[in-house]
Amino acid sequence: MTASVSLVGGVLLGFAAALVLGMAAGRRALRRHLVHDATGWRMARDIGTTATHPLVRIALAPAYPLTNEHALYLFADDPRDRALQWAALRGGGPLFRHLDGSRHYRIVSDRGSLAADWWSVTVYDTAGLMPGPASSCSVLDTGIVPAADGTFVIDIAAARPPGSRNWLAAPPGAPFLVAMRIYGPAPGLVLPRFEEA
Amino acid sequence: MTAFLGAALVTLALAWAAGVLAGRVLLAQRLRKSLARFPEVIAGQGHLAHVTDHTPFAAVDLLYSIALFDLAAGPLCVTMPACDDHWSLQVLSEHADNVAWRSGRGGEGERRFVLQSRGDARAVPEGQDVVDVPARGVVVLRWLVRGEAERARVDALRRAATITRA
Repeated sequence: MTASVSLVGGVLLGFAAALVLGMAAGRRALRRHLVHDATGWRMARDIGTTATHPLVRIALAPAYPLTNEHALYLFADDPRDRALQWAALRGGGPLFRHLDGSRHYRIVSDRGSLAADWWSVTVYDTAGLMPGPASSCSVLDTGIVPAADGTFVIDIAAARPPGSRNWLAAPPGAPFLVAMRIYGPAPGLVLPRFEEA
Repeated sequence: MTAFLGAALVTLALAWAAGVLAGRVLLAQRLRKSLARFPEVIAGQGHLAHVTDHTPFAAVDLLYSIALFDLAAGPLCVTMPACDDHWSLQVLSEHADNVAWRSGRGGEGERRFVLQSRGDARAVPEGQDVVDVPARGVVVLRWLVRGEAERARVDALRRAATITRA
């Protein structure tokens, strides 16, 4: 091998290695950033810190994300939708899979009220916030009607299910997203479940 | 063979460093660009933008006020009027790292915070809440709105917040 051939070969190998390793690091960071855990939520971890991949940070910069110590951002996901919504990231929104507006989902807290300063649940359509008053697409902790033992269920469907105490309207038959924000979470906070009814 | 491996390692290191640097630069650029929509923020010191729809997936139950800051000419003072529900002050570096945080549940009375550059030895009057931050960055104030009936009242409150030379 002449010296110049080995140099060019070495440079090419270096670039290829940087590309492969960079992509692997990105995938790892993304998996860590968006963990789809047993509670049915996709939770953004480590956002607002250097532990998150630069591409995710660049996308989310316009949302000024807080760290997990101060706020938890949970996104509901339907694993049946195979397409992650990367377009949302371009608008400063979360990475998610769509929920289906013809199905009935619910948020269940069977350990009672949540140990946090305050929290809210908001339904978004594919473009973001839906038109109309905030009360029609979002509910705060103080707006919830819990059972006598403090537990609660929030139904999310196009029409109010019979007997539902807490209902958020999903866009009928259209894809949508649910985001739950928990501000000032206590260290031992038990997350509510997100599930299909 | 030594030349081959050497070139590979040097290229890998350079490409990696370039990627990391590009990530930092683009992040700072995106943060600044997201604020360019609000002319009062870009205009300079003393301008809080009381934004309504900064991102399509923003929280409906929060009102935000945002300002860019540069402490080269000395500390800045942020005042938040007395309120009766949750509020917070978030400081991001120009690279969008969370560097400081204050919050409360309301009922604390008017709050004053002095944003001071790390390492700035200038004396700040005693009894002030000094927030150690990098020389440049973004301050984001949040107020909780509990229902539409409260929106106008909380909006008036946040518009009374100020950022001035300390």
